[in-house]
Amino acid sequence: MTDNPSNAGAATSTGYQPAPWCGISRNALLILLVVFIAGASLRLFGLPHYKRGGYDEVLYSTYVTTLDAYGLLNYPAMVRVYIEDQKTSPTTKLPPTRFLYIFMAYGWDRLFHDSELESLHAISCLFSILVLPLAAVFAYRLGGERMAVGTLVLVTVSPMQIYVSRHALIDGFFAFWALLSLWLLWENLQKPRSAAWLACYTASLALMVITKENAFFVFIAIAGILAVNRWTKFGIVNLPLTLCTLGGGALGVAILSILSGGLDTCIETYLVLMKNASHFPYAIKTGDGPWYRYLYDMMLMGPIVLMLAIGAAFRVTREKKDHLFLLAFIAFSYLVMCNVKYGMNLRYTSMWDMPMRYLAFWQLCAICDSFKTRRTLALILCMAVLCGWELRQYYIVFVENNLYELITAALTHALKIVK
Amino acid sequence: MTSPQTAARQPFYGMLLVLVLALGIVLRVYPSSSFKGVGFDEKFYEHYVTRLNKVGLMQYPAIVTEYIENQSQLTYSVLPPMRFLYIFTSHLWSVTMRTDPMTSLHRVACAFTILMLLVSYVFALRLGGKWIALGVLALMCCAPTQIHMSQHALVDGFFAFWALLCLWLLWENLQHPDRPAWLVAYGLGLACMVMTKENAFFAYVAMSAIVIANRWLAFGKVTPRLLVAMFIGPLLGVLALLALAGGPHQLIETYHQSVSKNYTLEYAIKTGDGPWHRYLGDLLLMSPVVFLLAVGELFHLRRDNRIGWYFTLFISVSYLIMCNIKYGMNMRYTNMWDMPMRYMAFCRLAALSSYFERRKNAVLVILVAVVCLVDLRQYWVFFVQHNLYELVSAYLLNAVDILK
Repeated sequence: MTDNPSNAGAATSTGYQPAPWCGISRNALLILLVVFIAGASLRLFGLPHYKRGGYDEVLYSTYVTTLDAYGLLNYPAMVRVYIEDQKTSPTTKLPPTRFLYIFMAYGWDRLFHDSELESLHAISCLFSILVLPLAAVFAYRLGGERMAVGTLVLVTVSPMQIYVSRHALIDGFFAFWALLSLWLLWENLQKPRSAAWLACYTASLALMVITKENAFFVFIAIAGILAVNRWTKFGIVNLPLTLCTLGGGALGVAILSILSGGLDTCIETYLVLMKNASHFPYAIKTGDGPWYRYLYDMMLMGPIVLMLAIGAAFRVTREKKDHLFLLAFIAFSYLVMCNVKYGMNLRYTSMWDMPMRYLAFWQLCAICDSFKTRRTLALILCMAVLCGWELRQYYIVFVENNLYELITAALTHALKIVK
Repeated sequence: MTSPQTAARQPFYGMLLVLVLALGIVLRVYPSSSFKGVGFDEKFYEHYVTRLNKVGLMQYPAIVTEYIENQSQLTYSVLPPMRFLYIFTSHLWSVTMRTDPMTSLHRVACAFTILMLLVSYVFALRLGGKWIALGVLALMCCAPTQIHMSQHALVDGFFAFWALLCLWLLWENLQHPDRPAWLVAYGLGLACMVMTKENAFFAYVAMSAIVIANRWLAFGKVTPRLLVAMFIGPLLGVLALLALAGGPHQLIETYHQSVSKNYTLEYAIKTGDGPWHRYLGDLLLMSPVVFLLAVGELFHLRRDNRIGWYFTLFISVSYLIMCNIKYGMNMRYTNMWDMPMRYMAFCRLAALSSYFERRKNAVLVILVAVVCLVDLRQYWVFFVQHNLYELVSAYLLNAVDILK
């Protein structure tokens, strides 16, 4: 770690120059706006029409109902009921400690008087739309306007992102907070000791922690990035950044502890969840596999993007800080996620959508650069084909085969690999 | 002149080569597969060798007629006797070694997967030198699908040998234009490949694409004589098959029966379907590290990397056809990509290890050893622990606990 005052404000000493905030051209802004509108429309009005509630969705909706009935002050009681229920129940239920999603849906419910399930769905949809500008801004800061446009286009048509917007599921919502935290980490690495960035980063981490247990994977990935910064030189890691990283996580845990009625109750909630999940027949049946299971699942869902991203991963050099940063995030989180026994699900990878698409777009640009004078045309054509392909995948998997759970068995069945 | 240092390394290299080769042979000869039964295809090969032993080569048309008659009665497809070379080689083995047909088929399959190692080594040696050849050989030794093919009486390892041999000979002909020996060898290689399996079509189209792309990618020199060899070789194969089938009508009928019935074969419909990227998934399941490295190398290709493009073109063009065969996808058919993929994977490993500058050789050796161990573990999981015989996606996924 580096905490040298002489380094303060010297982000360029790492050899990286983030794109300036006001440097984006009007044309690029216009394209971004059009793509954003297209993406938002896909998420708001795309097929399939939202109809029913799945297993998880019904549970979330029950929590929202309970919160609505008893109020926020009785949240500890809700957690206790959950623990008692889980101690005797043979099935695993998602915990009420996924507070932020439940609370936001509750807020939406109070504000717009929608049903619980509709409120949850609205929140999911809203945050999967919010991922779009976030992805564009992050990509812009990493690689400039071309990368912002390309990444936004690819995130817009990402089957996974559209899917999480069409259901009352937490994964798109969580992906937003994970991506926000990652971006803010990047900004803090570039602008050390900026109070505003540090505050945002801390708040984002805290909100991520109170969203879902998967925050642990992101936290490990962030810790990994900070640890390897000594060699990779993404930016400057100083004491405030380290403290804010720990503080953000701690703040989230503190909020959860208060909501649970104490730290011990909070820990017990997760222990009960982990214990039950390891015996839950559905998890055993669908969440197992070797370390490359996520790669296989991603290959089924978006083979071209995956291949391009793998290609980009092998072209990473120490000079390409942006690539290395995103790759480190994916690699560290992958390392933890693929080691969770009976705990693998493609839905959890929605937080990699933007990083993977950034890498994929860069790889595509590198390929099209070989066309020299016609590279822009080649890039546009390639992107059009890729987007068409991604939307077709979405259609096959989620519309034609009406998939709800992204387990490998269902995916291979939808693609007719396994009949 | 050889420097003293190089001279000192010669025996070391030789020793390493012998060790790696011995490991590859042991892995193929030792009956490690836990599947001890006789597969559906194996029964038919056994039947054809038995018939050939009994009636002799001159009566081969009778075997073909028998097949057509039987196949027309059946609602499903069985493998045709036009996979002549494997059947004939096994027949010869059976006659000379006095072994039963099944044992002969198995020994021939095993022998050709060992020969595949030698061809891989020589091909890689000609392409990149002795150290690359040694690395590729090590990776090939541990390739799970190669070991699997050596353990059963299946044609795919045997076919992969001929396909790879032809690919190598094409390369040599491109580098040494109009050398009669290379041309004759290539023509014969193609003829043998055609007589081995219908999949020769995929390999032949891929090689034709290489010849066409030579104009832009400059692999070597395409001469009229090479084109003639590329035409006469397969033609010889087809003529031989015509003679064996007893005429063009018989030959066409054989393939027609085989292909048309395949569309109604329940097993093929159930296991051979899927999107174009099915093979990518299957390859990833079987050898994840090799697959990732090969993909990494693919995206590193520069225009002047002739060898990389040569392999890429071979794999991608044959892939393009193979993934478009309705109900006709099976990972066994990808055996002919094993060496090209491993060559590319090794190149990537070498590039990765070069970051370590002074210790790059030691790092490369360690990396190759790790990849070999991962591949051997994959073999153990699929073929020893899970008793796999057929390489269909459902079984592969089941073996690695993704599907339960």
